[in-house]
Amino acid sequence: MGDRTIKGAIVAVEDADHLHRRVITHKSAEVLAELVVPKTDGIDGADLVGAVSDLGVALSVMRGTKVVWVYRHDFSGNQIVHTTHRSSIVKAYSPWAPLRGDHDNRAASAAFVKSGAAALSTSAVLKADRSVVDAYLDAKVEHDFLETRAGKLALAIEKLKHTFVRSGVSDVGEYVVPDAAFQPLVADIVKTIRPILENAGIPADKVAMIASEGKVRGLNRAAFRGILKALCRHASLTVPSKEIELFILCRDYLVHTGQFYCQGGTAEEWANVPPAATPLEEFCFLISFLDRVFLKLFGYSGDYFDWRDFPHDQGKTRTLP
Amino acid sequence: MSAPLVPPVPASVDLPLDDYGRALISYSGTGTVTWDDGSSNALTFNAAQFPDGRIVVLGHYVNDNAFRWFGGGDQSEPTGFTGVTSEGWTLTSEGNARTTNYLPKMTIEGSYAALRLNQLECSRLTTLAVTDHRFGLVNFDFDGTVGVTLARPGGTHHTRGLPIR
Repeated sequence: MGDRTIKGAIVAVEDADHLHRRVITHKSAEVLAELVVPKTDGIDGADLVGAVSDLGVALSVMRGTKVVWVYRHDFSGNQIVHTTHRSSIVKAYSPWAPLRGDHDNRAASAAFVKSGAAALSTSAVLKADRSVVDAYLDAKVEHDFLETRAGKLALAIEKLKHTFVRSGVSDVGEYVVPDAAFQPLVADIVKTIRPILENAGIPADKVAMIASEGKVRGLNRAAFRGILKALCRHASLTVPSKEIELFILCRDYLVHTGQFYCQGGTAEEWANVPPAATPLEEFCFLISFLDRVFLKLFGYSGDYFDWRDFPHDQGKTRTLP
Repeated sequence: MSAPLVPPVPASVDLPLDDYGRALISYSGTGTVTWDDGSSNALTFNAAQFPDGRIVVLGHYVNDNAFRWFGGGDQSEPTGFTGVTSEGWTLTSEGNARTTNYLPKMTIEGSYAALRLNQLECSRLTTLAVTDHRFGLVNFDFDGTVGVTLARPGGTHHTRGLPIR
């Protein structure tokens, strides 16, 4: 692979304003901009296409919507001499951007582009599997019910967690101790547990269901909480413990019941970890959490829109240290 | 002189391509579809790329062989498409073509079929050197930070862009 550094500028298409309103209203997709790259000797076609595709991933995270290229015009002055049309996987436009495209955020956008494209070749997590970005973006598309979209967010964090653990950048692994070391102990643990259950009068068939080898093997799996904290540390993202606990409960309820925590949680849980006021606010919290993780994974520090503020103050921005 | 067994395809057609959506870029001309059994069909086509990236070729055939595109004949699959437009563009697509199961309502007699392409290359004979590449980005909205002068087919535009370094 050769040089994949590109220099150029993104320019709006002629009717971009109209088309932008159209995609918001219709929840559809449109070419809103063109990336213009001067012909450069030494960058061959494959490297150029690879660099533009990488840039698209970074732009997608910034805008919270999947950005891909679908055609490439080769120009000579003001004349098109060759066009490549590509049938990419295109998603409907999503307005859930952590960095908005308006005038006030243009400097933040420029800063993110600089750090974001580079992160794809330096971040161990993003190098391991960049499809984690697609899973996260897919949850932002507005065609599904809110619970379903929140469920997709939970899936996205699972995928990110798995990729993070497998990337080897953290001492927190998939297992607490190596599986090879724990596996030989499983049968003995099962044998130890079963008499306790049987002595408590639990029927044998149910004892077998409770103290199965599969469940005991699960004891060695690292807790979601520990992996999530390690992921945040890796991304240099500081998150208060209360937020971590709330995120875990939101995720657990979505994955195990298909409900929001604010709908399905118990009074005791709510007393310990107060829920969001509404399902929309809980969804916004989940979006905010993942936005911050991804912004930091892409090396960004600076102003951003925190979707937790959306139900109350849509003009406010926060700063990600 | 006897009449040809297969009549020639018309030079152009106006097929209801907008039934598939609003075209981003469209072409019209005559061409050939090749099949994995080695055979080929001449056609007159309208082709377009749509904003969601889909590339559709809607063809009018002079014989009924095209009905197999809908699984009605043998199990051949298209392996390539070539065409020439009246503006002098040469269109080529090799591999990964697939038939569609949807055809708009046609009001002119003839045999029709449509296929979707993964990629389509469009070029024309020229000695002009390439000066820049322009990639169409779906769903990216922004407000530019630097001035950019851009030559477009309709004239020169002075606008603002987002620099990529």
